[in-house]
Amino acid sequence: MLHRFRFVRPVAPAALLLTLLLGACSSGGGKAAAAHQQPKNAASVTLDGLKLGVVNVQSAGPPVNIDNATRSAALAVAQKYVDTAIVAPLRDGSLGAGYASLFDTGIAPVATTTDSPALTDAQVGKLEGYHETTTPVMLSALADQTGALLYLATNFTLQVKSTSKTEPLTISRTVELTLTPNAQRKWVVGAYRVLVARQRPTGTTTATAQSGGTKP
Amino acid sequence: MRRLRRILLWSTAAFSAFVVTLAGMFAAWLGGAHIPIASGATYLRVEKISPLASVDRTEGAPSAPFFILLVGNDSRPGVGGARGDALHLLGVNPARHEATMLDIPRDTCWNGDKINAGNTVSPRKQADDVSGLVGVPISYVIDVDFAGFVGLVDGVGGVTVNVPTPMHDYNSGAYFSPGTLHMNGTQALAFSRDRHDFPQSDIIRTHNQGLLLLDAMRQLRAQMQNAAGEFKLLALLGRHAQLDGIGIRDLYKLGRVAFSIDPNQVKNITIPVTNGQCLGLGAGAGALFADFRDDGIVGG
Repeated sequence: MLHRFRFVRPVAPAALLLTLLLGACSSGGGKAAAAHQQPKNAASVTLDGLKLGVVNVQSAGPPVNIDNATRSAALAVAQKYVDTAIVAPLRDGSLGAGYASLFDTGIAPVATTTDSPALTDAQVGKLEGYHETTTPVMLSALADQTGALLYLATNFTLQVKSTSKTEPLTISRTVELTLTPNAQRKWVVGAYRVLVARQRPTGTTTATAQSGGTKP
Repeated sequence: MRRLRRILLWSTAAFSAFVVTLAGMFAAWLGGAHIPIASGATYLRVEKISPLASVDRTEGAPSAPFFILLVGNDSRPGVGGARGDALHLLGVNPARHEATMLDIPRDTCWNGDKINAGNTVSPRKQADDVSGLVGVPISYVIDVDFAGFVGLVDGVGGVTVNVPTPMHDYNSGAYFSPGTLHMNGTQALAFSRDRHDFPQSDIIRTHNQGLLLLDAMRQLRAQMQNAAGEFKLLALLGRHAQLDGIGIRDLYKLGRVAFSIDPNQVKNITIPVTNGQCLGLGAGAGALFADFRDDGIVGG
């Protein structure tokens, strides 16, 4: 019995200490870790801001033009989607602030849960570094018989390529966000079509992906 | 002996420490923490991510079965009244991704008159009459006249129709050989109006209208997979059709659901009728309507 105490006494605290130490070091969500990784990521991330491409207006009534303020508003929604749903998770490991508020209240609950794996890269988590390219945003609009704008749709494709040699990953996404004015006359996403393919060099067949980065 | 015991003790201690450490790492991993590998050079996180994923969602899109009446009326320069000469009741079941279209001959009797007379009052009256005949609530009506029909077909770039039988009809202007033909609006209208080529007259005409509608749906479905195509069709409908119970905004939501359905999952059924000037309901009509009524589709 005495021998057993002799054995436990030196080992248990050591193991506990080791475990705690490891836990502290490995806490990926910890501020210390994030603070260390942020500069590394920020340095190796290349972002292209969305740019407006073709504008197409359909009207059930008189001919309609989309003014610059409306064009900018639509582009801003699309850009915020990219920033919060794709860039933020890959850079910080979680969705960016304001992601849910992009959506109409009727659709926000599914956009943040069921549809999140396709809409966002929250599942992928942080990448060591990546390069993001986008096509110009095609803006479509629909006006009713009076010429009032009912819907704006932004279509674009976006590709994210990991720059890490150890964890190569390419994410290709085709995005259509259909915007509708909410009660406050603010354009919010009322419908979406998103197709995403996450490809590793071996192909898209694997359902498991690894992501990681260099330790600070 | 003492030395052996000491070695054994230290071995056990080292093994226990290893197990505890491993358990700690496992617990940390379960908690979502990143685990440093022994070298400290990299860390590894293994997660399930979807290699391929897609979503198609519309706020306010119906999830319960709904019914839309498609009406082609005979209003044109020199002919007023706007009788509902083409009556097609589309039932859509969003949950099952299936639909059924009931083709209703215009000469079908309803309350002592031909059923197409209702449209001379209003599209809503027409919908109420068809609703009474079939026994389903019809919330939405899309009604086009001759010019509207031609404008719609031309607006979508024509429609490719599989002409089932030879047509040589002076009254409608339908002169077609059997086979696939890409029709413009005027040709599609002639095809839809021809009844003099068939002994069963309006019954065959009604069925042919259904075939044209399904062919059009197949082609439009490709265009309706993005907002630009959807907006184009909706604007055309807004310009060329009379809408009852439905605005463009609603039409967008219904359209996203309706065009998500594979046209091969849309049944086209002409309702059974008897012969005569005013057609009564034929055998099996009651059962057909009952089947249609419960979930918007026939069969299944």
